[in-house]
Amino acid sequence: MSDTTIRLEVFRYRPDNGGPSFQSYDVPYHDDWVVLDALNYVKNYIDGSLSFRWSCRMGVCGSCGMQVNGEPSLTCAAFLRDHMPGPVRVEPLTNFPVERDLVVDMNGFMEKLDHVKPYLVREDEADDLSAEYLQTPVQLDRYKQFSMCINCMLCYAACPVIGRVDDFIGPAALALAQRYNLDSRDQGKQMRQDVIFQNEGIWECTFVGECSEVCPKHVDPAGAIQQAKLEGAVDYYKRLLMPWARRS
Amino acid sequence: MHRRTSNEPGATGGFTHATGQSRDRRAVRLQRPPGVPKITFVNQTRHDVLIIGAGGAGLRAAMAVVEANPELSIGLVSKVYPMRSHTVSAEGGMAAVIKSNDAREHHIYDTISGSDWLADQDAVEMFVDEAPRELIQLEHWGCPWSREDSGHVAVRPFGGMQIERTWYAADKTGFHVLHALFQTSLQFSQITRYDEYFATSLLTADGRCQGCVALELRTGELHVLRANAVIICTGGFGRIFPFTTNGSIKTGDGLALAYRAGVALKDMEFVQYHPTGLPGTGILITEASRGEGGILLNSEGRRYLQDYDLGEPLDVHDPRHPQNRTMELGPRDRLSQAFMHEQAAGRTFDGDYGDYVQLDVRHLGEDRIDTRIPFVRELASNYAGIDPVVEPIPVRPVVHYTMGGIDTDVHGATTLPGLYAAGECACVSINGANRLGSNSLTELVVFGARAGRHAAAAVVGQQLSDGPEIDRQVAAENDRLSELRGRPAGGERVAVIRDGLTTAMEAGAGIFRDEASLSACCATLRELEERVARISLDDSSPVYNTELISALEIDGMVDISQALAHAALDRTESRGSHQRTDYATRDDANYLKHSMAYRTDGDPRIEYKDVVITRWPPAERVYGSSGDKDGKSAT
Amino acid sequence: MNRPLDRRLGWTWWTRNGSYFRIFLREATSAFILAEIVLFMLLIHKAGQDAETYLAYRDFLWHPLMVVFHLVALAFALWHTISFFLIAPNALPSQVAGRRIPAAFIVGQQFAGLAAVTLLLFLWVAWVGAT
Repeated sequence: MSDTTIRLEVFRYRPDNGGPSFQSYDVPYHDDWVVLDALNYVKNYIDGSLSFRWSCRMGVCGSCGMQVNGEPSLTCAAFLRDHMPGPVRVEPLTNFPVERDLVVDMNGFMEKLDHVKPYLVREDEADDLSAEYLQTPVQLDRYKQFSMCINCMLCYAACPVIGRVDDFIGPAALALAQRYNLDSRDQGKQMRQDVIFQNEGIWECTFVGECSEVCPKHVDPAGAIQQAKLEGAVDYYKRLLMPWARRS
Repeated sequence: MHRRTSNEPGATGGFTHATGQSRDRRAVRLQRPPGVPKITFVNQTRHDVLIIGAGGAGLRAAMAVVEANPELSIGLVSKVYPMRSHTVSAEGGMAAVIKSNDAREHHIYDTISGSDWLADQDAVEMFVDEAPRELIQLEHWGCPWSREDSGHVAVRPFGGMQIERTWYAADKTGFHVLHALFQTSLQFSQITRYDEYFATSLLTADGRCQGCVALELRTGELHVLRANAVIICTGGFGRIFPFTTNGSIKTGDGLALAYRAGVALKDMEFVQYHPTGLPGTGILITEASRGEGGILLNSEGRRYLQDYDLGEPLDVHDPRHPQNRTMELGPRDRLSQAFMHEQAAGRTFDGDYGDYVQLDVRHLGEDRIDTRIPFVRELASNYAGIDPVVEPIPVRPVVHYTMGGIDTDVHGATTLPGLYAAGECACVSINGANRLGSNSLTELVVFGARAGRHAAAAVVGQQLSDGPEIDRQVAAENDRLSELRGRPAGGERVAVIRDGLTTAMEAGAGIFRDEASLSACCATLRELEERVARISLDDSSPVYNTELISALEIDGMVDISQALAHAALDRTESRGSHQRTDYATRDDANYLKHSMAYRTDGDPRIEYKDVVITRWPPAERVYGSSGDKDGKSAT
Repeated sequence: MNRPLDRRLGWTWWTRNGSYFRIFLREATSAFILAEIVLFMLLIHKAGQDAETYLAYRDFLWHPLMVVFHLVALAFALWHTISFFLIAPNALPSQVAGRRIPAAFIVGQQFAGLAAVTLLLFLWVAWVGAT
């Protein structure tokens, strides 16, 4: 325990009660506290009306993404000690409409996830559950990294394209499409390519690379998108030069 | 079959085809005291099956309904977006017999002896038999299981097992399972999701459960969701304790719903402490770290588990280490209890967040740590500031899993017709007095699917009742919430009551309990119940009023905590995770029984129900080298 | 009642933080490279005309301000090239024939390729100059 405090400057917005503002709170400083601990301290003992999402506080549920001093961060993994002596400015993730305080509207993101058909597609008639599909560690390794996305949406907050183009499918969803495209068990690549090669798909990406910078799980969505672009380009020229060949 | 919304008296269930996805937004103004903030009702939405909770069990149940009858419409209600559900935090793996050196008898025996013979053996047999198929189903749904070079799924050893049988996806198994289930579920148009809706009460009519009332967080509106079957899949309630691996959402809401609807809560006194949590945060360090060969050391550097009837240690470089059902691979209850004895003897380390012992995985080497337990390294370095490659990890027991829950049969059905439960919120029971590590994820899919299939069959031909019985309940629920939101400022704070609750539970119903501690706990809980009625909120907004949700959660938590404390007080024996210092031995003559807690106006009423014993008569739980022999002789 | 708040930045997005600004600058380098190409094309054009015109244009290119411009363009071109090389591994499939390709190898190959092409050009120019 210590007597040191740190100041939080928290973005407040109530749609039924005027415009946005910042509110300051002084909370106890602990060496091992994360920003989420400080927010919970505020909610529990200072101001119960502060709203934000959180659950696992171990960096895997993806609920608690916010802007911490301007950087998209998981607040459960952003230590106060890295922001001493403060103040720490906490805002909702940028590029998303704000519902209330630190809570953003995720519906658009959820629709984009749905859009890329993020599930195994098989041509088998019936599902035979007597044995697993075989997949070697090498085959697993091809897509494993892209399967680590926790849908925390930090990459959407970091992406300047999302800020300008509403319909851009965005880093996490495109990485997820690539995850299934690279899975040796999947047969739905063509279907997914039809979605991600559209205008609001991969070609909107200008390879800013910020999505990969902020990703707490090192998924590297920027890499996934560039790989998809490369495949898309190769695919295009193949069809141009060899119209008789089957699309890969 | 239908996703229909209506106000008209004639439109009562039956299987008519859907006529679009619009919801009836006509608001019904109900009587309320003057000056109370108004809550808008969005009128009835109808489904065939309603599932509350969208974690592993809820998603599996939803897809089981689709598989069983693609004509049915499913409403999937969750207070968080599905991928936030706490299934996501499970790390180590999922048990099912698939390898040729294993057999169903072994899995059954490990589960039953792990449960200290309190599991229902018919349920365990069913569970073990259906597990491999369900895990293969997950594989076919894209779960990235770790593999052998041959391409077959790999398995690893886990605590309390004779044979290694834990399927795993590195050490993020729950994360991968949840995301695979959620993403797969997106392709089914029969499933309508109600993300960030909090179910506040069940609706019953004609003696059947027929839906629920749910609060939409985004708008603050109340919705009446109707269905002929409701499956509760809301997870456990570890959050009634101060130090837990559980996320903030695990407040036992579903148990409170069922308890208040008159269904018994079974075996509530059994709470599993995981032996290896990080001090302070309570973040879980998976049992897989021991399955891969990690060892536990006390402050004298001794592998202290050898002093607690858990077998003899082998050198960490011995190719036979770690041995199944021995030392660090003993069951969780015994390991957590061993810590308490070491602590009492002064052989633990003294830390900022209480005493701890060390989990040492250094001898595994960096490569193995990075491929098998990368999340352990990530968590230890982020939250404890140590790198397990070069330093031992500080750990201590932490509340992890609640064996007790809503009383169900093997189909997930409760005693209230139309109401089902599956997953950690339910108690079938296969976990008895102590759950075997890596059985919980398997339980989600096996019993989630069973409940879904059973509900799908049961709703055919059922009609929803309309009329005053439902209206009265809806009005009462409106009154309850309006009253809570309209209370004048200056009352009790939610967080202060929560602190009081968790402190009381830890002090009175922790790893070791006795009559005095439990009686004190019961008295405190009774006081807290009164204080809950005086909670007032800082937040008056209808939009994302998370304080209102917390207040509803704490109300239920105090209720189910009373069931726990009273069941623990009445069980005058020690069994599995329930250790009474005043009754130190197991008492099969009187307590080879499930406790059943019923809600009353006063203290909960505790009744007992016999355990189903088929082929494995109660025996002593033996771990260490003799445990193996014992296991085989019983089969 | 329920009005989500739109907080997106418009066309000034690149002023939001340092890394956006750097990205913006990196993209802006293409303007310098374009300018250099135009200057070079003009040089070729002038070379086809009389000697006086050519020499006047050459003197213009050697004007101190133009030299500064060339140096800035060179710096930007190098920056663009190096940053492109460094991110290239992310844009390529991680495996070839089932084996992971180390990022450093890909980066190294590109620099080696650049060095080789530069050397060849230099030798060619030297050879043309000598004959």
